Amino acid sequence: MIELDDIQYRFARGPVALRGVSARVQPGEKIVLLGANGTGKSTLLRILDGLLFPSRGRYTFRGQRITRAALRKRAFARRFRREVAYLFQNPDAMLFNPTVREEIAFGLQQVGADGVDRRVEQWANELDIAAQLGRAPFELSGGEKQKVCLAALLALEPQLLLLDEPTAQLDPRSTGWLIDFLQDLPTTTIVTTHNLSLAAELGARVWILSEDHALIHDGPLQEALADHDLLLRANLVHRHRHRHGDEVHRHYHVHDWD
Amino acid sequence: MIRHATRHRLLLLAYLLWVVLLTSVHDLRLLGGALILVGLLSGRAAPRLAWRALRAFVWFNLIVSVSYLLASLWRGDVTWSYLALINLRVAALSLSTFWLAERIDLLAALRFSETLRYLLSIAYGQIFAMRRLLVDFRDALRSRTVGSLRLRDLYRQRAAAAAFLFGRGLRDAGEITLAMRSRGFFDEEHAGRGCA
Amino acid sequence: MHIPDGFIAPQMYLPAYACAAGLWLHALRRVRAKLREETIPLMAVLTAVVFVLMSIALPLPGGTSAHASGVAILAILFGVRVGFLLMTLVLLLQALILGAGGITSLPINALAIGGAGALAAVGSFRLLRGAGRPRREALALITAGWVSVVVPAALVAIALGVQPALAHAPDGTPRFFPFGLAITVPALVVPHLLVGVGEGALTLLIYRLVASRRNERAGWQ
Repeated sequence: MIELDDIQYRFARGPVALRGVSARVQPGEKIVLLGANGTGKSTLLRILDGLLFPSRGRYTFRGQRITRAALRKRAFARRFRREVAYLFQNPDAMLFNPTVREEIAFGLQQVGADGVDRRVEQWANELDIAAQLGRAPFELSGGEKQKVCLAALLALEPQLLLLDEPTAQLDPRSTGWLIDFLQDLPTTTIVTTHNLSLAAELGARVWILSEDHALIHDGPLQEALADHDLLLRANLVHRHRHRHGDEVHRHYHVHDWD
Repeated sequence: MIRHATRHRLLLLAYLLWVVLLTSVHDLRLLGGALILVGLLSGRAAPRLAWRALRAFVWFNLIVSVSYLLASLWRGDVTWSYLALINLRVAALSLSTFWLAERIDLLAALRFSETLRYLLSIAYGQIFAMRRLLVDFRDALRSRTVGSLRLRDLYRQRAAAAAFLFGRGLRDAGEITLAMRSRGFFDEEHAGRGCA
Repeated sequence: MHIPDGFIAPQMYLPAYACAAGLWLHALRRVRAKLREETIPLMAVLTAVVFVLMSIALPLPGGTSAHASGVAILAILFGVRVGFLLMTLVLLLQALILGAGGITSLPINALAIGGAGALAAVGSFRLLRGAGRPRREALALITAGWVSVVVPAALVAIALGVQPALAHAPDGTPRFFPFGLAITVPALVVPHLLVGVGEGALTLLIYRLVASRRNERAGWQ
């Protein structure tokens, strides 16, 4: 479904954000993208969503190479934007319609879908926000906003769902709900997080970006968790002193900024 | 620290005088000389600064120059010296400003007003954070958009971004106030000259 | 809309600086009179908001766009003096960070956009707003946004248009901006009649969103 070949991204006259990333993704896979802050997780998601274009390397989605020129073709852009959905870390960045109903309908109207009203109702029910359909998105709580964004994206029935730190701004109850929801979702998902303790819940396959922006692990999560050197190198765990009565020892700790 | 501030205050003062000078001189050779002088002062940064300056003024100058040229061709007498004068002057001013922007520690130069210094240093940080937020807003829309949007949607999206920035700004202002208070900024020592 | 460096003669920008400086001091004194702890952080943050807001493209029919100004919404929410002071700061930062506008044109831009623009916006808003009547309020907000763009455009056009008469060589060749009022006024004002409509629409939409988050607005006026 996705082929990434030697993707490099460099900011305009700035530093490298991604270095030689190569990977394949099959339909239905659930991938967790791990990395400390500033390692290029969001940049990779933005490349996958066709918002940024690699300075070197190829990105192919369902057999079609994704380039600036390809996305200028309207028919292709229509298909691609429908098939790939991106949930931004800050839900406020996505919400601009006066009501939740219009917010969910917006994308459907964009791609010229039929039965807009029916789909809006269906996804509002699915995400348990039917009672909020008439309200303004900005009045909602963080968790509800996230649900509105998800409904707006999922109503398009995308093939690939990209989620940027989806639990970063959620309380524990909403986090639990979201994890359950994502686990039941048949869509291919790529989720970024720097929260190792959530990674196991979000997918079985893990990509780890190092602090010099290279993909240093692509494989089962358990393998990565067993490799303390790898996690330490990726700045995903830390060690510090522990005192238990008279005994002092050091052991690894999961970074948990959320 | 004081010497640093004095140096940058003098630099700002010199720049202001230089600007008045550049707008008071109408001799092409002098303005050309001034442009070369700023170029030399910029040293190795000259090509980069020149490029940035050019990008900042080229469109406006092009419009003015071309319409002036067309208008004078229409009248039948072209004053080439005017075209040279205005473009040299603007180039020299613009290059000087970019030169200053790169050299000066504005916060040090504005040491005479505590208020202004705090104002600008908070504003600087906020500008960068808010620009990043705005990129998110722009990308989120692009991610959900095919082709062109209706004007109504564009305005709604711009307004949502602006209102979010205002709301965010007010919240941040509250937090910054608390942080400043917790660090003793509003205690008597500062209160007196807080708004000099 | 704001004037770049090099097109305004010192005969105009030096007195304009003197005039603007007087108003800056006056506005600063009035703001200081009701100074609270959060005044400095709030003004700083608002400076940043407006700086960023001005980089937002204001879409216009036909695929063109202009830059938003933001002075109307700023002045309506926080008052004319705050609007004037902050607009000046934004113009200063634009001149020094982006190289847009300029240091010689700063006082004219500040007086036109931050001063007259803010005053016209708040004046028309107060005049037209009917208490508790959403239609009247909407009209007042659109008008406020419109005048906040059209009035400064007219003033800037006048400032530029008098340059050839103000500063020219003995043989009559201009030394700064070359065109007179007959050209600058229509050239600047006519497009801004349309840009103003966009600014008005944006002002209305932002006001509605900000006003409905009342607790976040935590009254500053």
